Amino acid sequence: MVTASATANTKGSWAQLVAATPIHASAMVVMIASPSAAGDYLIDIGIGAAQFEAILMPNILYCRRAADVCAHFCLPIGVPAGARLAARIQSTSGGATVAAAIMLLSHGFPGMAHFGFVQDYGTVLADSGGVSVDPGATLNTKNTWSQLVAATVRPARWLMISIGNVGNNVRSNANWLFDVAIGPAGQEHPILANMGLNAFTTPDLVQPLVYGPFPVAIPSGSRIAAHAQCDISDATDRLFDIAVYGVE
Amino acid sequence: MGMDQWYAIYRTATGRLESLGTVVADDSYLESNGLTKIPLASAPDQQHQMWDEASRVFVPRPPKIARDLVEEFVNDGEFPNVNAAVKDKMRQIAQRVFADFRFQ
Repeated sequence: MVTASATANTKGSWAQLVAATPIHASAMVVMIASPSAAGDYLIDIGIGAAQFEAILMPNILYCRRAADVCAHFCLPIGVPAGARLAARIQSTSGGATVAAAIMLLSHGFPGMAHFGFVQDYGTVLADSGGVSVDPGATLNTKNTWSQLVAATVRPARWLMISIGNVGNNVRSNANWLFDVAIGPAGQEHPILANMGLNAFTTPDLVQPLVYGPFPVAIPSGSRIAAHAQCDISDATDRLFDIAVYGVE
Repeated sequence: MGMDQWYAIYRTATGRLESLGTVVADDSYLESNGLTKIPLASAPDQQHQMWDEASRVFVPRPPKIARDLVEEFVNDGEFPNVNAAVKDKMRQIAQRVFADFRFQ
């Protein structure tokens, strides 16, 4: 169990997940669930000795509302045997907890190289969320591209997408299709198109929480943006947050 | 990125907002595709603001007003004719039982 700082939107202390990983891994799956408060969360996975943790997976965007939600975030990054892994979280709800577990994949997949660096784009520490995407008031029509990053700091070979709830605790039924693109504003080129999302009044959550990772070839210095269409026009409930994670 | 100049790119003919960014296509490309670029005073906050196509500026996003099913229940026209104390007791029980699910 990992506990957020009592201060909202502030990272809590590192909590050890494993003292020494038993195998060399070429990928890992971070499994997150929250039995506690409704909120938006950003989760760091760190590697290294206590007090000397280096961030391996930064600011994984996770959300939880009326019911517990489990989400799996899989990234093809190498973890050596014997490594200590830890996690820390922040939340819109101070003192909230998540249950975190990690599954290591040791044999890799055909054609997959080992990667070692994950960079988050679009995460917003101030509200434990991502960049808000507004599908607009016109139903079922793609709307404004929201910029996640002006220029990627590294090339990305894989891209994972996380979806956030914009701090909204009361959702309407809604369906979305969203695209992720690269290119300057006004000249975006979609690279991942028409991914579906939905929300229902009972869980009050936009789901799925995660897409990918997808194999991509995004050069360093690329602008990444996202836009969406929605089948409702409610000015609040049509919004969702998005963050992406490039793996090199 | 806080120091970067943000721009709104909208369709010139309709005012529809097409993109927000600090890295923008060439003016010649925008113009030839019927788009107009205007600078923004600060980074856009779409959680609290929304684009108005008519005035072509961001305006405050209207606050969300959630339905409270418990209040609808206790104020329903067919709710039994009980005194205020009993009605409030039923309200409290329903609020406790339904918790966050009472809001829609």
